[in-house]
Formats: sequence, C-alpha cells, structure tokens
Amino acid sequence: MDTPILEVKNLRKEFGGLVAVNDVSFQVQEGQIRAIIGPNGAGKTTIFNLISKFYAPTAGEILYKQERIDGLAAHKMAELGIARTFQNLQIMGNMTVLENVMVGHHCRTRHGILSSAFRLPLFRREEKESLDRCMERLEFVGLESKASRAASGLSFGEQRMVEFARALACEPRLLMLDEPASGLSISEMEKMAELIYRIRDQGITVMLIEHDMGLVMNISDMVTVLNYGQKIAEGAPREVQDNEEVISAYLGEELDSDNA
Amino acid sequence: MNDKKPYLRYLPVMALVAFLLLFPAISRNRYYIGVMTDVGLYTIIVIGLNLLMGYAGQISLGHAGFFGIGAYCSGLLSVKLGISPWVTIIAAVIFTAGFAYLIGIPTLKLRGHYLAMATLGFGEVIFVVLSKLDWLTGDTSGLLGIKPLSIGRIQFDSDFAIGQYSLAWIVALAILILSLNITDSRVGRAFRAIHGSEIAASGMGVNIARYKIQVFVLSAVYAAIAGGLYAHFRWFIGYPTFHLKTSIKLVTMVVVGGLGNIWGAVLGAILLTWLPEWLTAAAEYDIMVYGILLMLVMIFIPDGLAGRFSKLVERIMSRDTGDFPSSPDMQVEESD
Amino acid sequence: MDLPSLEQIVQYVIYGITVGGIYALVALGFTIIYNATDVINFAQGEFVMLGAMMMVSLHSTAHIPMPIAFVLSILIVTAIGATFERLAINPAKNASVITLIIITIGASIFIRGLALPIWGQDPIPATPFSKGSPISVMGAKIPLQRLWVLGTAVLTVGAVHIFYKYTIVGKAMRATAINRVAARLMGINVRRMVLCSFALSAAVGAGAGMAIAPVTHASYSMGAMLGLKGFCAAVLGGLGNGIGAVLGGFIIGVVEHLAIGFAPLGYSGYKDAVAFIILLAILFIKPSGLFGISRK
Repeated sequence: MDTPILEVKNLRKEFGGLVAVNDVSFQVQEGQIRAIIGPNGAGKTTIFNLISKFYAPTAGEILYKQERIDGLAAHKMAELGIARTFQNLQIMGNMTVLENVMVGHHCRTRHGILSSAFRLPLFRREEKESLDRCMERLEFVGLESKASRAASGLSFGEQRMVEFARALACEPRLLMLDEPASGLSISEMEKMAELIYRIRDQGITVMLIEHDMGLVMNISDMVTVLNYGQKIAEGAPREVQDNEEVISAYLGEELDSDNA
Repeated sequence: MNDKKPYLRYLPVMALVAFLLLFPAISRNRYYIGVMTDVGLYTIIVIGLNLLMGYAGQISLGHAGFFGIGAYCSGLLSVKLGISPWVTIIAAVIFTAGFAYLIGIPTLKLRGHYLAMATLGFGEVIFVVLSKLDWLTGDTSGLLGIKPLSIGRIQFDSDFAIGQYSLAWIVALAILILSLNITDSRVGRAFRAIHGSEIAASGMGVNIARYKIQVFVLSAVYAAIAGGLYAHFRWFIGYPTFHLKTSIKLVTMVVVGGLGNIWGAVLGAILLTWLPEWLTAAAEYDIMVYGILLMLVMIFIPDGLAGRFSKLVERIMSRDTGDFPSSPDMQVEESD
Repeated sequence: MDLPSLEQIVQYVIYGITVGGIYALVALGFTIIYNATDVINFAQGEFVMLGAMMMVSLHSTAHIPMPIAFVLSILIVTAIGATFERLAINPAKNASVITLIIITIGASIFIRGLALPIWGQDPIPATPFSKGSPISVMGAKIPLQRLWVLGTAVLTVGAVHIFYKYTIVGKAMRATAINRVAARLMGINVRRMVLCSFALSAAVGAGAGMAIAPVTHASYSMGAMLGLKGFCAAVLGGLGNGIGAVLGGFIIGVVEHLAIGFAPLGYSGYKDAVAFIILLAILFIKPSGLFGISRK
C-alpha cells in the first residue's frame, strides 16, 4: 500500500491572467482518506476539475496508478476508476433516482444502439447486472425506497446521496467528493462520514474537498492545505490544525475584514 | 430495466396497432388512408427528431434536409440506374448516414442558438442544392418517373393506397418499437444524461461527442428511410417539399407531441398532419394556427401533450402511495 | 465563363451594399434583443415585413402622406413588438434556450400567417420615398430608392448609437447587457429593459422594411429570408456586437451580389445559399464572429 494511487506534480492552471493553481504537488496513497482544504478560491475545485479532465493543465503532470493521464479525455476517467461528485449538484433532474445511479454504471457496460434496439443477449445481461448493482448502491446510501422517484423531487441531502451512489456505481478505485457535507444536517453529515469509512474499508481511496472542519478532522488520514493556488501545508489532521500558516490563511481573511 | 413487465410498455403499441387496423375499415376513404400513410412517414422522422431533441437535448431546424436527401437519393438511383427500389432505399440511408456523420462532427460541437442556426443553415443549403438539380433530374421542379416498391407481382403504387398505408406503418411500428427499446437502455440513459447534465455525464464516463453524433446520425437515418419510402410512394417528388417550412413542421410535431417521450412523436405526427385537413375551410389561416400552437405549447405545456398525458397516467397508477408516482416497471413493488 | 465588366462589378457591389444595409438593420435588431436577453428572436424578419406592409396600407391605400405614414408605421410596429414581448417572451422568461427559440419561431410563423389573410398572397408594389430617375455611379445605374435604403441604414445605425450613448434608457440597456445583476442592483428594471429592447428592435426592423419595400415589393413572406440572412450577418459580425452586425450585413450583401456576378451561367440561383455558407463557415471556424464578444 505504499504506491501512490494518485500523484500530482507541479500542477499549474492559468485562466487568462489568473493563476488558479500554482505549482501544486502531492501524492495520495491507496486506501487513504485525504482531505483538501483551504479558504474559498484556493483552487481546490480547480484541482479536482484538472484531475477529472474538465480543464487541461497549463503545466504539470497527473499520474494515476503511476501512469500519466493528463492527455486523456474526460469520459475516460470513469473507466479508469476515478469518479467524483460535484460541489453544485449535477443531478440529472429529468431522470429517476435509479436512472441517475445507472448512468454511473455506464462505464462498466458496453452495449450500444443495436444491442438495445434488438434486445440482444448482451443488453439483457448487462441491464440486469446494472440494475442489481445500482440497487445495491442505493441500499448502501439508504435510498432504495426512492429508486423510481424523479430525482428532482428529492431533498437536497437526498440528492447528495444520489450523486454519491452514482459515483459509486462507477466502481471507482479513487473517489473524489467535492464538498460532500455542504448543505447537510448534522445527522446527514454523520451518515455521510460513516459511508465514507465503509467505502474506504472496501479499499477505495477517497479524496474530499471540505469546509466542515469537524468532518475533516474526524475522518481524514491526511490533509493537504491550499491557499491562493499553492500548497501551504500537508500532514495529519492534528499537525495541520496547529500549523501557523494554515491558521493565518483562514483567520487572515477575517482579521483583514475586521480592520477594513 | 423493464423486462419484468414488458406488456405495460407494449400496451400502447397494441392499442396503436388496433387503431391502425380499424382505421381503413372505418374510413374507407382512399384520400384519408393516404393522409394516414403520410402520418406514418412523418412519425418515422419525428421519432428520430424526438430522440435528438427530446432525449439528447439537441436541436435540428434542418431535418427536412435529410428527408430530402433520402428521397432524392433513392429516387435518382431508381430512375437513373434502374436499381430495385428496396435497394435504393438502403443505399439512400447509407448515403444520408454518411453525410449526417460528416456534418455532425463540426455541427454538434455547437450548442443552443449556434447549433440551431447551423442545422438551419445546412437545411437551407441542402434545399438550394435540391432545387437546382434539374441538370440531373431533367425537370426543373423535381424528379419524375420514380418506380413504386413491389413484392413479387404486387406493386405498391399510388393506386394501392392500402398497400402503401400498411407498408408505411409496418416500418413505422418497427422503428417505434426499436426506439422504445433504445430509450430504455444504457444508450437512452446516456442521451438523457447528456440532456440533464453534460458535466456529470462525462464525469460518469459518457462520451458526449460520440453519443451526440450517434443520435444525430440515427435521426438522419430515420428521416432517410421515410424519404426513401416517400419517393417510391409517388411517381414524382418536388423540391418544395423539403423546404424550411417542413423542417419547422417537424419540430412543431416533436414539440407539440412532447419532447422526451417517443409517443409524443406519434401524437404530434397525427395531430399536425391532420390539422390542415381539418382547417380546409380556413386554408389561409393554417399557417397562423401552426404558429399559435407552437407558441402556446412551448409557453404553457413545455412537456407537450404526451408529457402531460403520461403524467396523468402516472398519477392514476400511483393511487396507493398518493404523493409519489412510481413507474410500473420497478422490480421493487411495495404493496400495501 | 464570362467575367463581368467593371461597370457590372460596381453595380453588383453597390446593389450589394444597399441590400446589405437591410441585412445590417435586421442584424442590428437581433443584436439589440440578444444583448438584453440572450434570446435570438426568429421573428425579427417579421418586424421588417410589418413595417413594409403598414407603409403600404397607410400610404398607398389610405393615402396618408409619406412622412406621417413612416412615423405611424414605426409606432404601430413598435407597439406590436412590445406586445409580442409581453405575451410570448415574458411568460416564458425562465425557459430554456431551445424553448425560447421555438417560441420566437412560432411567433414568426404566426405573424406571417396573420399577414396572409390581411394583405393577401401577392407582392404589393410600394411607392419610393422620392421621385426621380436612377443616378449614375461609376457607370452603374442606381435607382434612387436604393440610396434611400443605404441612407436609412446609416441614419438608423447612427440613431441607435446616439440612443445607447446619450439617453438614459439607452445607457440603462447597455448596463443591463453588460451585467444584469449589477444593473438590477442599481435600480434598473431589467424586465422593462427587455421590453424596450423588443420595442427598439421592432422599430429598427420597421424602418428597414419601409426602405426596402419599394425596391423588392412588399409581401407577407418577405420577412422570412431577410430574417435568416440578417441572423447570418449578426453571427458573422459576432453575436452581441452591434457594429459587427452592421458590418456583417454589408459583407453578406456584397458577397451575395458578387456571387451572382461571378457565378457561371445557371448557378446564380445559388445566391441564397451564400449567406448560409458564410454562416456555417463562421460557426465552424470562429463562432464568436469577426468581432466576437464571447458571452459567459
């Protein structure tokens, strides 16, 4: 378990004149729960977007299982085993909960137009498998009773869970969660934490961007702190919590606004 | 997802078949049977357009172009080279598919207005080209002398109204069933995922560009099939049939019938092909009515008529749970 | 292949510029609405048609003196544009792009359909703005009305420019186009700006219609092609850029007419395809157009 499942080397992303990510490097070990934290605008989501290939890096390398992935297309990521959730939920409101989760299983199936049009054996087999697997995921997050409801009709917390189940349906090795706890109630958050533990127990590496320090401190094995696009600290939660630079990065904003 | 209760999904198909069998018996009018034949052909095109616009969330304002290419291609091959009509239809479909693939690649990179206008632009260019084909067809207004389809000694020409009617609807039903199958599969979910959230779809492994092209070409193929049949149901086809007006009519059928619901295509095709018939008294007003219909439906019933109807059906079927409609084909049935 | 003579080329270019002036105005109309609403108003061409038809009815039929008829036409079509916004656009304000596109398509069909029974199917000749014989420009004979078209185009563009730059409403509309949220925070009633944009577009379209009608005859279906080509011009110039739209209109007009001039015998009918080929080229090469503002 010493090989990093994900490695980011000198990653840089510029948007016009703005440098969102500035020479960031880190490694994530397999089976770890890794939190990425930092004040707003630090570049956390940009890093996720770079890893899931929604943006191309201006410079730097991204290695997954020791192989470079920065040249690949976005839709290849799920196939490789990298799945994610989104800060602003990207639920497909026009589909049911189960259908949303089954989209997650897309990368694990391959039947196409002909197969589905003529209901060939490949389709039947894969569809049954998808159905079973996805219902399992829904049971995992506790939403199996809402499977055939329109996804847009669920509460915010439930929709987060649907996105979670959907990402799990990809059968990922690396799961990236972008602010999974935001907008959740205390009990929902506890449930989320428990689910993350159980996922890790299944051998899946979890990276999460989070603002809720309670969750971060409780469940992460390691924390990486970003500020203004740069990595300013990294280590076990306790260490990072006591790091002066980290404290001033977070508090610095508040102090400035007090003086203003 | 539905292998548990296929009969529920195919029930409307049975109803449609029953209606189609009864219609000629009740109507007994050659002309009306002809109109229903046209409905069948339009249904084929509109199902394809529905997959493109309703499911995958794209738009095409130039679909009459594919209809025209299919018709002209099939007609020309049969008139100029004497090839059997069945073969020419297949050839026309292959040609149209290839053409759609080529223009699809750059076009589907566009979105929203730009996509709409690009498809409109292509439709216009195709129309202009078709209107100037007299050097090939020998006639300034279109193509003459197209041979009818035939099976053995039976010729499906314009005298054999019931024959054309049956042929058109057999093809339409086949396409309907195949399309229902496609929508209820990984492919259908991929289309709808693209419509719902391209970001998430791509994050879940859906190759967006590839699926957009696939659905575009598929819709072009359907239009070409209808075009080929259309050509061989007549002795003459004229280029005005493939004008922007027809593209708009097709879009109206999809929209009024209901985006995102295959049955909407059938409904829209039936309603809007019959509309001019019902308005014959006020022939001058039919354009106006199209326009109003389009506006009213998009403003007040964006789901279209089929959308409303299926919501109604869901509400009726969910009498036990009250507030949450459940689709009848879920394997997890909680009976109380 | 016979190449056209210099005189003929000059004539084509000048004709192209005059027709281009109409495309420019239609394109300007699109831009005004697009900037305020992000909507492409497919009914833009119908405002042009209505302007032409109103002029014909007011002046040729009701014998109202031309200057008064001109002003009245503009007012009536402006009112129609505003009504259209209130009845068809505002209720659907939160709908998707495609829905709005289809609504404006429906409206354009509706307006055209309304015009058919009212004015009939046949093209109606319209009285030129002034009497006089064609003048000679570099050997080419240019009918006076075509110069009026050009003049109307230039004046309208100037008037719109002044409106945007110096009037309060105009500045408010510009602000809304640049940043809707900020505009609202500054107390600008955004929905009213949308209404204004439709009204202004309708006025611009009406003026264009009245200018071109004496050249091409007024008919219920004249709006369709003009609208489409105007859109091509707006995209060519860069959707959202008024100057670009105007220039785009002139470019398309000229290229179209040169195409007629240089086309081999029998291919001049393809001229209608020119605008669309330009459109497709722009969409594939540089969708933001010649002077593109990329929005969002």
